[in-house]
Amino acid sequence: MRMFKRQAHVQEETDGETIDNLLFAAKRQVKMIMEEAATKKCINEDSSIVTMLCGSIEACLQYKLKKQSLGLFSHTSSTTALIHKIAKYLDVAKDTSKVVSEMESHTDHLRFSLKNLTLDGGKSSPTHQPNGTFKCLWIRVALFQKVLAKIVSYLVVHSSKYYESTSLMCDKTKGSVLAQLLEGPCALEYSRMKTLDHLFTDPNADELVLRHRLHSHTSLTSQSSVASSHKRPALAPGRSKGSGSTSSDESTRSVPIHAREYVDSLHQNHKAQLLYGKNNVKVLPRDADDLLPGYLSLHQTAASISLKWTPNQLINSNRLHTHIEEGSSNCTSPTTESSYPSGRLYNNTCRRSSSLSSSNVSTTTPVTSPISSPDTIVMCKDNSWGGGSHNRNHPLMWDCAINVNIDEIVYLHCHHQGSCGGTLILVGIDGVQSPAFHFPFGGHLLAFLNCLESGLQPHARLDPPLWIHKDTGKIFPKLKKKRLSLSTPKAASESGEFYTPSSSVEDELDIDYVFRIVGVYKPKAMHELIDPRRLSLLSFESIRSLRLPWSSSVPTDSPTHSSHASHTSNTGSYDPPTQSHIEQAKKPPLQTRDSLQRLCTTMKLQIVSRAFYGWLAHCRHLKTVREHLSGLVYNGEATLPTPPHNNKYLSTKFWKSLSDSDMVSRQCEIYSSIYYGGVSPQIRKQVWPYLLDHYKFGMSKEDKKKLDATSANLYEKTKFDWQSVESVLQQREALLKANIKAYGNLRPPHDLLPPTLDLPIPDNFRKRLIDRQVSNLSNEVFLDSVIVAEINANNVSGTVKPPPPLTKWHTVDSNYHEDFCAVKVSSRNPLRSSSADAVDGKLDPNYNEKILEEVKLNLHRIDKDVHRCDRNYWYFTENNLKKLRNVMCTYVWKNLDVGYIQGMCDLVAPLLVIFDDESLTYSCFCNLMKKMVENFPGGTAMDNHLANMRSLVMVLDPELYDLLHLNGDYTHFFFCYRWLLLDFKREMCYEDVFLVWESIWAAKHVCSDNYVAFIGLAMMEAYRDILIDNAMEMVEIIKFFNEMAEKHNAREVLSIARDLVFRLQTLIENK
Amino acid sequence: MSSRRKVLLKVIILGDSGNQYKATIGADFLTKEVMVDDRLVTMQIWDTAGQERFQSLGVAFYRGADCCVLVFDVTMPNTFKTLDSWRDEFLIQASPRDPENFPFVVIGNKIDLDNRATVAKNALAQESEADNYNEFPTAITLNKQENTNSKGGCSC
Repeated sequence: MRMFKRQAHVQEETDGETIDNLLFAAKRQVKMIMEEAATKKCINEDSSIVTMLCGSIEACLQYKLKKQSLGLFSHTSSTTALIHKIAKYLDVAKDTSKVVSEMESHTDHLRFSLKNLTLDGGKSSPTHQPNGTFKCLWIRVALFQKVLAKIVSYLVVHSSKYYESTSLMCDKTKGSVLAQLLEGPCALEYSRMKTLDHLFTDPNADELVLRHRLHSHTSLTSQSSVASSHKRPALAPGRSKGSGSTSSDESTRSVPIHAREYVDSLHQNHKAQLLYGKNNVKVLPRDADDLLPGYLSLHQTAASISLKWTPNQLINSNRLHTHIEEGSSNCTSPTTESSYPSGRLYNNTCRRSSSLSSSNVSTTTPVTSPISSPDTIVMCKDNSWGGGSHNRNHPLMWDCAINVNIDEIVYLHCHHQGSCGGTLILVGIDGVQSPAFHFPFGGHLLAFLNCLESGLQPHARLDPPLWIHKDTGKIFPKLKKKRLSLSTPKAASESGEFYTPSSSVEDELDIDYVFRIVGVYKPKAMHELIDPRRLSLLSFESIRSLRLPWSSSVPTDSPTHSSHASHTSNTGSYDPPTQSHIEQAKKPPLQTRDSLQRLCTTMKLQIVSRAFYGWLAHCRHLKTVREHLSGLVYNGEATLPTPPHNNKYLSTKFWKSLSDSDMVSRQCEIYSSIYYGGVSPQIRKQVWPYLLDHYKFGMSKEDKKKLDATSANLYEKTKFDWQSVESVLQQREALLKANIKAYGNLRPPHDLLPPTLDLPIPDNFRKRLIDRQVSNLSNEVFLDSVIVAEINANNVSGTVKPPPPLTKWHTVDSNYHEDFCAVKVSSRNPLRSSSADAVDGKLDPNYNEKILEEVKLNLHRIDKDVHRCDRNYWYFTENNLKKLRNVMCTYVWKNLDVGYIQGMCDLVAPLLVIFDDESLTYSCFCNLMKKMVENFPGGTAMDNHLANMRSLVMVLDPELYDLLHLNGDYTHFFFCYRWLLLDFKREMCYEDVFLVWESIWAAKHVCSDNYVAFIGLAMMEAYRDILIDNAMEMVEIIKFFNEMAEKHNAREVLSIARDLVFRLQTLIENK
Repeated sequence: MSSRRKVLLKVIILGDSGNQYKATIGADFLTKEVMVDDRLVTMQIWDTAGQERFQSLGVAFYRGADCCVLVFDVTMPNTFKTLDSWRDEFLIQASPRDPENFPFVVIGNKIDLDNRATVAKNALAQESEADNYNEFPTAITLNKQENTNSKGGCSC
């Protein structure tokens, strides 16, 4: 009992959460639409924002709806039933309900007429299908009628009638909040007009990603997106994923990438015209015992006609996924219906029961994000045409689907057997037969041929042509009796008058036909009716006559041949051929045999030479790859893309269990587990110093403590140095200001600072100053020259007593200040005395000024960037930003020759978040910068990185490379600049930055020193289909990735990156 | 996507941005549709990294620009003085066909900071007299701190 109570309690809690989530989602959508409205006069009805809003409202209304209260309407979308129900009580709802009903019946009507047009009047009656597109229809209508808020508030008032007590609608406060929320959107103007904005605004990155998800039916998070990237074979010897069985059929199939895409292709679309469609056409698949019903369709593209047959189960299963996808997408995601051809046609092809069951699934599926059904999606994808070795639902179903290009078909054999509607067998130019298509009874075969014939025109025709009967339209040609045709084969073939109209009523059902598809370009058509069993012999004939219709080099000898190829039209379709026929077939005349032999030799030669050149090209390419890319990965054993045993990540438990000596011996293990899965967040603080070479593996606790103390000490000293300079600067600033105040102009006193002031000087900076004096290099920084000039001018002008300083450190007396600095600094900085001596002796008197200016400039820049660095992240409070500034300034002080460059702050920030300790952060940052500094302007690493990216894309994804290379220069890779400069810090959200960084550092010890390049490529790969489908240019790519910043799925990207490393390694080893 | 694009106007913004956003690394851009003589023009407003060091990237990003906006901070006279250098730098990097007549727009930012603006205005006046900005078409605009990038760009 207690258990039960607790469970109920938990249930209530989650209800509360769900309600909050639903309400939050609705709020967000309302906010979005209001923001949109603020910038535009009216909102397009088809806008994705509207769809999203409707989706979230639908979700709110559907939550804990009492299904039984809706009664008869339960087969439709439940909230639609709701609106019909309350239409009785609420006037405004009545209008909405009426419009919705009208629209639904209209679409039904449309659907019905479509069916009549395309499907040759099938038996199944039109069924009312609530599909995803219409799910939110009434909400849309109500919104456009501006009554949605009223309806919802009515529902809130009467919620007890329609909703369970724990629902959102029954919650008095939240329910009315929802109703009031909708007042805003209901007051807006909506328009069907395509506004200019609508036409010209490119979709943003989110929209693109979503569209892609919906279209390709594959989730971006699935690992298989890499596998799918092999549309065009790259040089990957071990492409095990894509390899399928090599059946004879495969040559005639074009392999579709996504199942969903394939099913979409069965519709009439802008690319292909649907000539014919018929369901329940049965085919006996290979390795199967029973005939399988399926959907036969004929599609005409500009180039050719293709015939497709898809098992019904497959279409149904796809329909199922589509439903889930639709249901979820409509509730959570912006999808414009226009971009999403819903599968209405399926209703005709699926049997009613199955479509009903699929709609059930769609309504009962919990509303989640579009990624929620990756399993099913991936399944479909894996099975698409490939081996389909590990599929679950439809074993080998995809293998059964048939896709034939009619261009490759020579003969159509039609058999009529008894009560069956007719059987069709296609024979290709290579002589291979398709499985038999069993048409249902009722003239469907004739209709099919009719459609095919009209589709073939004007480039080809059926031979013999179908006859036209004045009453019934096209009919099968009437044949002469077999006896007749056999007795006069020669005459028949010469005259071409093979069939004579016969008035006798023959039983059509018992006649077999062989039609030949004849190209009209052919000068001489051969009129033959042949026995299917002679095909092996005739295939060569057809190669000669069809493949090489223009070539005169291979002499065709059709009269001779046709005399041997028998012209039969068997009435009993499977009579064994007579002995004489077989003998004749076995002994072709000498001429034919010669030409055949020649043909074979030529073919053999061509095959061998092709194979050789292919191999040669492959070897050359491999050589290039080895030369240019072998440096990117370590040699030796390839690192697998997935973790070997169970070291999925560096766990706290494992880390704690390691003793100091263990760490040395198990170093590799540590690195590889970090490479595969990162570090457990709790121990990052301990692990990172090792990764960043601050600690060495094997250090004892005392050693580490000592090291920390030393580095802390050093840090404090350095910090003090620059802080004293800063205070000098501050004082000067204050003086300047005071003077301006006092004198109202820009003339400051000249003796603000004595030129011989002692200041600490960073060694490397001194060197740079000397260099600078030699080369007189001053074009780099504009500000420098200006400020220096100004200061010099200042120094010349008259004397004024300095006003009181601002800081407590310094007194009015500049002498005192000078002493103070000198004493303090020299006592603390052992380096200082020597450098100060050097300064006094060898450098020009402006030297101190130069340092001061340099520091001032850098401090100014640092302040500006620190102030705006990651302000949205919780860690960076005022106090912690100060820490960040200290670390940054200390580094810049020590490396004044490099100076502060934008982006450095971004590199310090994550370190500081993890360590929360200035000196440790500083020390690790210095180590990190040893490598990273080369990326910044002035270094050479960035060019190398970009070049590496370029070659990687070229080798691993040629198709993407073609796109990026369209304009032909490497600047196209500039969108990677920020990625590479900051190690993806700006691309990922904070938690993911940690993960990405530690994998980069660990990868250095596992597989590659240039792991960054692989992650970069992985980022592109993750969206490659979007980039390619939209043919994005550099500008668009930059925009896309800038918009996608911090929205990437880091784990997915990393797993793609590991896969890429693996692919390159195997490629280089060529195993 | 590309078929929908009509006329493109590429505007480059150089100089110090405010502390509203993160420091720009690489380049980012915003698009805005504006009507110019009954023609809808998609304007790309590019924002490049502020620090001079990143100028080497400019070649790629400045290419094909139709206008350049130079922004300075009215509270800091120096930023105005450096505009010349920015302009020269831009002309070198972008190498437009007609550098003499290439349109520049100068925008003074942060005018809302009253107490300091006076100083800047003086400086501005001085500079305008001294320099021969009239040689090429220039508008001197002063605008408020917020939304410098997008709003400023529209005025050209």
